[in-house]
Amino acid sequence: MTGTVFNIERGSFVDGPGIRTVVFFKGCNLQCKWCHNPESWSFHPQMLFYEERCSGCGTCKDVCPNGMQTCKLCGKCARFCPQDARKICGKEYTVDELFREIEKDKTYYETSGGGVTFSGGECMLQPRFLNAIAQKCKENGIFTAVDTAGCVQWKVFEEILPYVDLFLYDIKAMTSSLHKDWTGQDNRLILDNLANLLRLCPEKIYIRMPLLKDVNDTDKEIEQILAFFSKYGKPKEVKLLPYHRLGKAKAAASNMPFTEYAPPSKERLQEIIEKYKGIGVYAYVD
Amino acid sequence: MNYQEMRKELTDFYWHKVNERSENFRALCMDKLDKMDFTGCNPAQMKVKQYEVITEYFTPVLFKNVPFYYEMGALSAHCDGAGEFRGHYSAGGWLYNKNKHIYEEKAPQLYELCETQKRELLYLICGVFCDERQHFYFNYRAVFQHGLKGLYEKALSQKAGAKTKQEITFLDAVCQGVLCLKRISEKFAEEAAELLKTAKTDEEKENLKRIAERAKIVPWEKPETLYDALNTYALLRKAVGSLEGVGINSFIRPDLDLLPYYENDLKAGRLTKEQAYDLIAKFLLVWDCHYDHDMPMVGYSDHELENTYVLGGCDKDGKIVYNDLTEMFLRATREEEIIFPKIKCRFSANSPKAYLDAINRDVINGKSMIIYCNDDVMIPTYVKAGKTLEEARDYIVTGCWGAFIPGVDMSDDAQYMNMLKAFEFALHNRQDKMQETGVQLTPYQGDESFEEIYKITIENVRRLVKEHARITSLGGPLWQEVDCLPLISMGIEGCLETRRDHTAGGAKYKDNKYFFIGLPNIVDSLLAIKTLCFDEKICTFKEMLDAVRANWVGYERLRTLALKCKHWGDESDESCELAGRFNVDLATMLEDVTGRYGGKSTAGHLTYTEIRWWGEKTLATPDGRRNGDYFSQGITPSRLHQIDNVTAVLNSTKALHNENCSGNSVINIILPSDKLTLDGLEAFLRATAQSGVQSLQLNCVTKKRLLEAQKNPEQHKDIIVRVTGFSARFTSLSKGWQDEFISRNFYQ
Repeated sequence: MTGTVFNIERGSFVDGPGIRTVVFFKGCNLQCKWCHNPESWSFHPQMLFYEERCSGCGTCKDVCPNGMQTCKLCGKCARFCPQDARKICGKEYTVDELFREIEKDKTYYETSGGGVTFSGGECMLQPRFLNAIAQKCKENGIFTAVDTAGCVQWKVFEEILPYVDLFLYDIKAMTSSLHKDWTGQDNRLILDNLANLLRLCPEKIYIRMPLLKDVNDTDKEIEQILAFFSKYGKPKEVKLLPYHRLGKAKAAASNMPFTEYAPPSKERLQEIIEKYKGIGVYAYVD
Repeated sequence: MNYQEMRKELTDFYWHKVNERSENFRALCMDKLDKMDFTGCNPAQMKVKQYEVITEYFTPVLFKNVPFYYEMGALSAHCDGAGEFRGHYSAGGWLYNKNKHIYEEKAPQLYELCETQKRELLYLICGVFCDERQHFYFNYRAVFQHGLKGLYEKALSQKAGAKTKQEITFLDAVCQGVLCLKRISEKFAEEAAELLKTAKTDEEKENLKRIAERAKIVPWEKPETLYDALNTYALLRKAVGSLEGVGINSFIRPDLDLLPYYENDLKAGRLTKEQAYDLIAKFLLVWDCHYDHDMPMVGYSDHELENTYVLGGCDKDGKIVYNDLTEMFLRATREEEIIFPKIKCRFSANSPKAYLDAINRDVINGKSMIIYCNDDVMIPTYVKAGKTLEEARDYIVTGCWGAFIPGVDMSDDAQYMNMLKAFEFALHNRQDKMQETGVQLTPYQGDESFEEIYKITIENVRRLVKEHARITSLGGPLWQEVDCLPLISMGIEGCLETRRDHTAGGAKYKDNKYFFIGLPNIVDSLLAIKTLCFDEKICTFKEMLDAVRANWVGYERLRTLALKCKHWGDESDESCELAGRFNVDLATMLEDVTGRYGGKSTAGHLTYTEIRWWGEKTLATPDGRRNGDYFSQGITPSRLHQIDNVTAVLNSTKALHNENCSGNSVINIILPSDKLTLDGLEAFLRATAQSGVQSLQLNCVTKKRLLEAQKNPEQHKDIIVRVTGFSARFTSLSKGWQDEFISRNFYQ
């Protein structure tokens, strides 16, 4: 059994408590317009091309066995490119191979209360592989976190629950039509899953909210979230993620469109934090 | 408290007056000494005269706002004591200059090297000098324990068993030197009493009154209070440096050594905590004010002062050292924005959280004024090197990063072995340079197997070591005929006991440290050769040699591949295995190399500003380095490779088996200040303690902020970076140094 991973970030001070290794799974079933990891959407390895880095030297053409007509992901062009303008995104790992990478930083997890975070893309769309690697980590005393948008069947959560110490759970929007407009998917399944998790293990739930000005930072949106938490249970914390443009270069490299948006103002973020405080939920800005 | 008046008074003296004053004083002393007849005198007897003249003719300088007595006006502002220091000369260098003709007569080859500064050889093996003029420490603890009087009596008692003239004159020089120190102190007391008559402000009167009272007594007698002990530091730092003419650069371990005085003062009601803090802040300000931190850094080492001290760690029994004094030294450094003295903070996986938070608090905010020294590696390393556990637990790091065991160890320091230059000689077949330097190395022919290439590489380093040992052995035995250091020697175990000066090999430990330069670049080069020429057969080794000899011109694709090979710090099996093998071979080759004073030889990986200067003089290497590219510092991974994972770098260090290298090694790490928390940095250090890191030069700053600081320096004067063994305001570094810093690896 293998899983497809597009990045392993070690020594991370974000994406969960302590010092962490973040494993980015490839493939996602949402297509958020603001996504900063658009190269993660496809489930398959792909060649990225960073046009702004390209010097036009032509080395890639010279070394490509197929004259750059069809790409079989042999990686030659990436290896020979002096500007690192080409990069293969996505690699197959067995559970043991991935675990060897994760366990390298066990000392850091132990001193910091950190561990591994499975992220993406949507890591829960490779459930068998995720279960196996999470189980292996737990058996070896490594703290596990799953960063998810939650758009999978509840059964997937049920199976992974014993092997996950915390969920970094994204809420993109509460209004169903808004969610569909901005992510391409309805949010009913996402909210149902979150409601179940909040009932079962609220202490394991860390909410993350990407926020765009006048899109999902409105009073209407926030009030719905507050009502949701009041009804189903309060998460451990809420992290507000104001929009940033980090995905721009990667969108271009993946040959995907990119539109720039605006983040909420600092004042608005503070107002939202206060609203959470009002219902006894700790919220902060990344 | 407001220390502005004190800063103003001190900086006025150190920035504008002391250099001229010390030059004049030197001329006066030279004149007196040059007129004396030294027929039949050995260096110890001549040194006594030097002590006496300096003592007699100096005029004490006391400051209205400073409660300490120490300034003799005999050294230039930045001088650590060395007779010749960055273009300034001091009276203490008289004996050395008078006698250095002995080198010329008895070791002309060595003398020529030293005098002509045969550049090419010095790029290859630095530290082949006749003797050491810097990197000493004075063992203040001996004075804390015995007072100068006790040391005088000990030297006197040793005379009973002295047999040779050398033994007798050494002990005489100790006795006379100590009496000079006593007289120096008394002169401060007399000056204070005189100034007291016209003193105006209450603070001035109070300062002068205390000095008039205590300088008559301390350090001749043992210090009794924190005030006494700080004055012992201050006076002996200046006085011993001025009299001996060599650099003295560590206050050893003040939070351990001053603690009994502080506690007794509190207990007796002589001092409040805030008064103790005030004394410590003023003490540190004295040294900080020697230097103008806005002075642009341009040259070799014009941006640092050799004053250091160690905080934290454990005592000889293994008990953690972290107390009020630790906090006070750190607080004063933070609140008064002190950059010098340089602080070395010992740490381990078991350091108290409060201690780690205290030392990290400024670093995390872009003010990197400390170097981190890892007890969990250094202590076992010293034990393996033959020191007792108690001694090992007491280790200090002085200067930039040289390690010593105070009171027993006076090692040879700053002996750089430029392996990368030797590698260049072999790669580029520099017959011209081999002839010029007389160092014959084996060039690569292009038809060797990888194993043969490895063996040639290590064998060339061995020849470098042997050449270094051969040259230094010419001068080593002569040092005692040229100069001697009775005052420094008297505090080092072994010297009074064996009646031998340190220059004659009297110290209990006199290890010979070889600091190897270029390990990361050589390992990366060997990995590139192995991968491209042998494993993948993309080119022949001959073609690789052609490429580096052409500075990669016409071989850009090969260079791209070389840069993308496995490399030191990536935690790959290949890089760890090769680096480990190489480092163990370095340590092993030193096993039968005896130091010039009979001590053992040991390996280290430290590099000072040579990362730039020597890099600029070194031709291309197979790791993708072009002609003139900078070196890596110590065991820091090459900046040619972007390594995102800092943990991979630190984990890699385990593979080096640094437990064989008691010479110490340093690694540079830059972490993102915008993502770190105190808790995160604490955890990071605890994990680092379990790696193979010995000394960690840590900066927490983003590249973005540094680029902004280059554009708007006035808005970013608060950024203090650890450069190469010293700290400086980023904005005061020259553009070249700023760019060098920005070109380092910034981990995400």
